[in-house]
Amino acid sequence: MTTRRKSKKVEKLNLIPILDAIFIFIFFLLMSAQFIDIYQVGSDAPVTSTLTQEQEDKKKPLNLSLVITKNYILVKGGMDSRVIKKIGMTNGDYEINELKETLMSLKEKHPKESTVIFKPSSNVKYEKIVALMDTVKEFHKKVGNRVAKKDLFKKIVFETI
Amino acid sequence: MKKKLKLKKREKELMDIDITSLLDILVILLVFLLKSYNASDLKLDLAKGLSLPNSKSRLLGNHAAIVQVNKNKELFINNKKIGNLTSGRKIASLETELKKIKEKEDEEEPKKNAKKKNRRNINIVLDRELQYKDMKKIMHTAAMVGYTNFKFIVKGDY
Repeated sequence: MTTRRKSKKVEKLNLIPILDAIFIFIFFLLMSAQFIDIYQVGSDAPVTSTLTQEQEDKKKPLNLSLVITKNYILVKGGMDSRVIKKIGMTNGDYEINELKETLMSLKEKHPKESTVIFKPSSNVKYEKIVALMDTVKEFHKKVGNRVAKKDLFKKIVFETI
Repeated sequence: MKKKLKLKKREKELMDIDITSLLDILVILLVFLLKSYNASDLKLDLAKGLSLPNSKSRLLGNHAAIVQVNKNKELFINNKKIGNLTSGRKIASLETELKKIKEKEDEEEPKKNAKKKNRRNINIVLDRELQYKDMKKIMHTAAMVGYTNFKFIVKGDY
C-alpha cells in the first residue's frame, strides 16, 4: 500500500499591493521633481534711513560699494567713497580671489557690517553680476575634509534702480 | 477492456507573472525621484531660450510672481508672454500685469498683504547673457509697483 504525500504548497508573496503603493508614490514624486537645481539669490531695493546723532558719534559706517565695469571692479568705502582696491581681470574674468581677500579684510575690521552696494555699468553681463553676488555673500574655505562657510556681506543693494 | 478515456478536467491554473524585475525598476526609479525631490514651493517652467546663470547659492525659492526674460528679450510673467523689453526706464506692460497680480494677491489674502505693504517678493528669472541695463529696467518697474524684494533665480553650481 502506497500512501500519498500531500505536496506542500509554497505560499507566494503577493506583490501587487506593494506595486500599487510604489506607483502612486512615483506619481507624486514625478509631480514634485525638479530636474534642474534652482535656487535664489536675494537683493532688496535700497531703503534710506537717517542716522541719529548717537549713531553718528559711534564708529563710522563702512559704506561699502562695488563699482563694477566690464574691465575692472572698484572697491570703495567710507563716507567719502574713497577707493580701497581696484580689482582687474584675467582671461576675461574678474580676479575673484583678490576681491575675496579684500572683502575678508574689510569684514575683519567691520564685523557688524553686512551691506554692500552694487553699482554695475549698463553693459556688464548678468551672469558676472550673479557670480559677484555669490562672492560677496559668503566665503568658503576648505579645512581638511570639511568646507567652512563664513558670512561676508549678505545684504546686497543695487544702487539707483 | 475498454479503455476508459478519462477526461480529466484540468483545473485552470492562473499564469503567474514574475513581477520581481518590474519591482526592481520601480525601486530604482523611486530612488532617483527621491533624490530630485524639490522641497521648495516655487514651481518654475523655464521659458524657451532662457539659460540660467550658475551660482553657489543654496537658498530655495519661494512662491511669488515670476518674471522671465529670455535671450531674445521676450518678457514673460507667470508663464504668460506679455511682450518684449522696451526702451526707457520702465516697462509699461510689466507694470500693468504686476498691478493686476498685486490686486489679486490683496483680494485673496488682505490681512497678510497689508503687513507686507510695499515689500513684496518677486522672482526674477533672466537669461545669463542679458546685461545690467535690462536687469535694472525689470527691478525699477517691479519696485514702482511695490515688489521690492528681488529674488534672482539661478542654477546650482557644483
